Amino acid sequence: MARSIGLKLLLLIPVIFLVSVATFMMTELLPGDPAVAILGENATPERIAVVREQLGLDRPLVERYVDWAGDALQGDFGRSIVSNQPVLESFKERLPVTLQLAVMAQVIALLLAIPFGAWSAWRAGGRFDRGTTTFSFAIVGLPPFLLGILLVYVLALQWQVFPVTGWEPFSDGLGANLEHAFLPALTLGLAEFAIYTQLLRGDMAVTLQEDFVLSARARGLSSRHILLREALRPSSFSLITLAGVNLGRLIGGTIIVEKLFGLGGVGTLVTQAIPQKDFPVLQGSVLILAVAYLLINTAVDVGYNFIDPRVRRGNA
Amino acid sequence: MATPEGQLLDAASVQVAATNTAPAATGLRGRLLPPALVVIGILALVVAGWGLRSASAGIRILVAVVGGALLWRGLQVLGIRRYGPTFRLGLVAASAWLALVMFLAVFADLLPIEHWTKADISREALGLRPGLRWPEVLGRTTNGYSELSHVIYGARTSLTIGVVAVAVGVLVGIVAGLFAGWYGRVIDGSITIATNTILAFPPLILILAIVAVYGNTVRTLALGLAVLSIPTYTRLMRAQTLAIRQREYVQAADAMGASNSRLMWREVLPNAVLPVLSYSFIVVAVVIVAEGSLSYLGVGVPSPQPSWGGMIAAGQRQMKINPHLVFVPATVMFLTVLSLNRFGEWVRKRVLGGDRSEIR
Repeated sequence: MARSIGLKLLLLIPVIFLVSVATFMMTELLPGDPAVAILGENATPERIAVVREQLGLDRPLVERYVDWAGDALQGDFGRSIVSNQPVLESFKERLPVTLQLAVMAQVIALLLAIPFGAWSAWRAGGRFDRGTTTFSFAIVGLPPFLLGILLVYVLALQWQVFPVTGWEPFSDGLGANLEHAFLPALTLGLAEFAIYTQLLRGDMAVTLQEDFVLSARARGLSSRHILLREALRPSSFSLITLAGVNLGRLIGGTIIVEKLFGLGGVGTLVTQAIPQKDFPVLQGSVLILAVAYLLINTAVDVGYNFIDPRVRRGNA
Repeated sequence: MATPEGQLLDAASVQVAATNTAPAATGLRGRLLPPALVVIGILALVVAGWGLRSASAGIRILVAVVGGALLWRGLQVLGIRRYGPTFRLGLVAASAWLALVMFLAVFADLLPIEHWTKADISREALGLRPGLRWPEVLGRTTNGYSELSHVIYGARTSLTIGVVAVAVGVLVGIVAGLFAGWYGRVIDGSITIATNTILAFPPLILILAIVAVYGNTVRTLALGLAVLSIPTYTRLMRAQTLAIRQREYVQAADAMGASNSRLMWREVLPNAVLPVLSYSFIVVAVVIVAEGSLSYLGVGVPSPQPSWGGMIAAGQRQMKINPHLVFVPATVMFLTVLSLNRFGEWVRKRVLGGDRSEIR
C-alpha cells in the first residue's frame, strides 16, 4: 500500500510542474508586448518600463520561469500591479471567507443528503423517492447563479429572513457571521446536496439488498437503526470520495456565489484582477487554487485506501 | 417474497408502476378526467397570470405551480392513451422547446422582432412589465430594450458558443483519445498527462485565466470552453478505443493485412465514435451554463451584445423593483439547460442501450 501511495505522490510532480508552467505562460501568451497589453496602448513609457522590470521581461524565458517558480515555492508570488500589495498577503486576507463558505456548504449538503438519500432508497419508487429525485434533477439543471438568485429573491427580498449581501467576519460574533454566511452556503450546498442524495440513494439501494440487512429486519430492528447504523457505512464510500473531491472544486466554485452576495473572497480577487490585467495576482491565485485542488484530490485518493478495505487489499 | 431477489423484483415492479400509472380509460370518470385536468390547469395558469392582480406574489406562484402540475399530469395521461406506455411528456416538451429555441436563434434576423440594438426610450416603455401586448410580451429593460429580442439574440450567442465549443472539443478529443488508445505507451502517457493538466485546474478558474489572457470575445469563449470539454471526450474515446481494438473484427482485419491507418480510421473510429458523440447534448448544456456564469461574472460575452448571463447580471441590481428582468432570461436559460439534459439523456440511452453500458 505504501508503494501505491508513493506512486500517486510521484505522479503528482509532473502535473504540478505542468500546471505551474501553464500558469507562468499566461503572461507570455498575451498578444504583443505583455507590458503594453497589461497597461493599454496609452501608457507612458516610464510605466511600461516599470512593469517590464517587474515582470523581468528582458531576461530569457527559462530563467524567468525558474526565478518565478523558485519564489513561488517560498511563498513569494510577487506584488499586485494595481495595489502593490504582496499577492500572498491579499490571498490570505480573503481565504477565510472562501474556506468557510466551502466547508459550510459541504456540511449543509451532507446533513441533508444522508437522511434524504437513505429514506429514498428505503422506499425506492415511492412518493418521497420520486419527489426527491425530481427535486434533485431540477436543482442540478439549475445553473448555480440562478439558484442563488432565486434564493435571494425569496428568502432575502420577499421574506427578508436573511440579509441580501455583505459579510460579517468571524471575529464580529458567531451569530452575525452565520446569518450572513448561511444563504451563500445554502446556494452552494443545495447543488451538492442534489448530487449526493442521488449517489447515496443508488449505493444504499444496493446495500439494502444484502443479507445482513435482511437479517437485521428479521431481528425486528427499526428502519432508522438499519439505515443509519447498518447500511450507511458500507454505502458511503462513493459519497465520501465525491465529497472530498468536491471540497477542492468548491474552493474555485465560490466565485459565483461571492459575486452574487458581494463577498470579498478568493474568487473576487480573481474576477477583479481580470479587467485590471493584474497578472501577478491572477497567476498567484490560479497557481495556489490549482495546486490545492490537486493536493485535495490526491489526498482523497490516498485516504480512500484507509476507508475501504476492498481497495486496500489490492487491484484497484 | 422475502428473499432479496423477491424484494428486488418488487422494487423493480414498483418503479415501473410508478413511472407509468395511467388510470384505466374505462367509465365516464376515467375518460373525462385527463381533459378536465388540462382545462383546469390552463385556467389556473391564466388566473395566476392575469387574474388575481391584487393577490400577493406567493399565492399567484402557488396557483401557477398547481395549475402547471395539473396540466402536466393531464397531458401525460392523454399522451399515454394516444401513443402507448412509452410516451414521455417531459421528453416531448424538451424536444419541442429545443426546436423552438434553435429556430428562433437561427432566424432571429428574419423574425418580426426589434433588432437588439434598437431601444424604445419613451417614458412609458422603460422597465415595462411583461404583458399581453406586442412586441413587449416579455417587457422592456430600464434602457428600453425589448426583453423578447434580447432573449432571442442571447439564445443565438449561447447556442453558437455551445455548439462551436462542443464541436471543437469533440474533434480534438476524439483524435487525441484514438491516438492514446491505439498507440499506447509514450503517446498514451503524454496525452494522459496533458488531459490531467487541464483537469488539474478548477474548471471555472481555468476558463477565467484563458479569458484574462485572450480577452472576452465570443471566439475566445467558444475555444476556451472547448478546452474544458476536451479531457472528457479524450477519456471517453480512449476507453472506447481500448475496448474496440480487442474485438474480433478488428483482429480479423489486422490478420487480413489491413494497414495501420485503415484499422484506426476505418475499423475502430466508426465503431467507437457514436457512444462518445452521444454525450454531446449534455456537454452543450454544461457549456451554456459555463458561458452564462462567465457573462454573469462580467467576463463573458462583451457587454452590448445580449447574452442570458449578462441580462441576469444587469437585472439583478434592480431585482426588487423589476423582477422580470431577472426571471425572464433565467427561466429561458433554465428551460433550455433542462431540455438539453433531458433530451441528451434520452439520446445517450438510445445509443448505449440502457443504463448498464460498457462506457461510463
